[in-house]
Amino acid sequence: MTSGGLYARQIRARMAALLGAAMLLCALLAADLVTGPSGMSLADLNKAFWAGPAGEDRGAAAILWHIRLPQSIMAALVGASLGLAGLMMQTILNNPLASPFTLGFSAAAGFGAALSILVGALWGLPQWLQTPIAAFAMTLAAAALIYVVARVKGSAPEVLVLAGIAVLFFFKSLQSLAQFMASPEVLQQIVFWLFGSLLKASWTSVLVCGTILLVCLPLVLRDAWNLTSLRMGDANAASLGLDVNRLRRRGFLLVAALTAGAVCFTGTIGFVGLIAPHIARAVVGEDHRFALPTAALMGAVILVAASVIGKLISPGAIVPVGIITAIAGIPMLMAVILTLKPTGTR
Amino acid sequence: MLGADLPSVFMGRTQILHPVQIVVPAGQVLGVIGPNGAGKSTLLRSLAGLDKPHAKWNGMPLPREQIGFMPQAFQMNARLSVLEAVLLGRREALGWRVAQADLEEAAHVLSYLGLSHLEGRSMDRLSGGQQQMVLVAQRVLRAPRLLVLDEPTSALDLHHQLLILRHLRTYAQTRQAVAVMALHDLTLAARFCDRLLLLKDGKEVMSGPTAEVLSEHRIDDCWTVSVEVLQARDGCKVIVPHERATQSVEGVSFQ
Repeated sequence: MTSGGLYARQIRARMAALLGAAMLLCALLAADLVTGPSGMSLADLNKAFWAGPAGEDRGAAAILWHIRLPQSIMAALVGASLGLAGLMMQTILNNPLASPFTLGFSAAAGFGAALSILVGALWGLPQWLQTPIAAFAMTLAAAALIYVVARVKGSAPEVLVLAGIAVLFFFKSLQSLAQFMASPEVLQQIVFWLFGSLLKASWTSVLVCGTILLVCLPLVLRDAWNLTSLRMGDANAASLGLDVNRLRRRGFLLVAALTAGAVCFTGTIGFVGLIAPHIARAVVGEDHRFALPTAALMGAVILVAASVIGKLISPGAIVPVGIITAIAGIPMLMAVILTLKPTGTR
Repeated sequence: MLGADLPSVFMGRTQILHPVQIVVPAGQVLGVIGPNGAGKSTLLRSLAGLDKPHAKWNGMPLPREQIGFMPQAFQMNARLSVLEAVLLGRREALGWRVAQADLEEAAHVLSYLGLSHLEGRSMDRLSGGQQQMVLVAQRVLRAPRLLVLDEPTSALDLHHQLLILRHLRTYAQTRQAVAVMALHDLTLAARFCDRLLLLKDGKEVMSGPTAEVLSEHRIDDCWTVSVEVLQARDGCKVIVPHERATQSVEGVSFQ
């Protein structure tokens, strides 16, 4: 087979994988919409969907348009953001066990939310809006802290990881302090936020998370070839004319924005950003033109699937997706560790 | 004509490279030789200008994209096919959709270096020597005016050492480019380099035509190894070291 033929076949296989992932996501979204504690039939849902938010059956319209649809779309958006951020993190840190939370972003978001819940509503902002804003702002503050260190000491992976560990422990400590100072009722609210749940989803959260993803996606994809080059090693990428430090800093800021947008409304949802990139690489390889969208789609698939499972395992209640992904993520993480090749072997 | 005035390089307060002037006519290969720690890699990095450009072509600064630098250390666990890896040599020019011309050019370079059979293989499944040859192919695809290669044959067997060095020399000659490479094997340096730059302790010991630089007493001085410089049947110099059974570094003897 000629070079062009072999390459074209590879590209076709990757396009097919992307299409397959998109179709799987659509199927899971449909399953998520028809699953729930209300026990609405498929026919009722279908009717409510076509009737729109102002349909005659007020109950069905409210369940579909104000609860299930925003939750399902939010699951897809958060999963896609975490999957995309996870692949970028693993690539820029050259570490298969890195995730969007490696650098302490979740701890910072958790502290922001805990602080907001602890102090209560300020400046006339409703609590449901103030908490995500605080979580978002604190995530960006953590990112700014690490960015400053990276500007001063260089953007080598070990510098970023060490600064991230420092930030992680700093915000974890502050989060513990906030929990320690909280009354039992407030503590319950903080703990519920930290679980990571789609119950907090609304059309506002869909709009914010969706906008961040839409803005970041083209910026991430613009660096697809650069990120692919980075997989050939820092020295090699630099010798091909790539400014590795600048790429790392730029990627890191995009990861911060995507993670902040994802966790500020839903809370901490672990493992999606760790596992989705591994599935993407196994399916389409490391050409980041394909790996980035596949990681985003796989992240969305995992989180929507977790949402469906969360509704099915406990009839009449909804188990937070953060708990489902954490439980399912551990065997997945073990599988990743067991399939990793030791350094230096081929 | 390549020209470069390389400044001193310091690591902390230690001077690891003294100023060196390099002049190489187009179409020639310059070998950089010297014992371990002589400053070869430092010199090549400085010439490649990863931080600040120093190389000039006919007196004009050489643009970054006209320099193909291959560093010594390489680590490759990427799940990319060999063809994809070589294509990255054209990273700046690649669009979202890879042009047929780029694919054909990459395949041509692989064929030129005898690597066509590896085209569909994943980089993380290749041996160190095969990966090194792919990296050379990546540099050749850039079609640079200046190739700067740090020990390009360190992981290769004898057959592939000869193959790669022959192709690199042909590349320099046919494209009127210059190849500058650090080599440890003095016989290979004698066979494939038009000129040599000998370094020791970060200083230039001698620079000039290969035959003049490679003398028995100079090798003995720099490497503290007694050698015989012989002539092979094809006229090339062959460096044969003589073992000093009881003499070792810093006077420590092994009986």
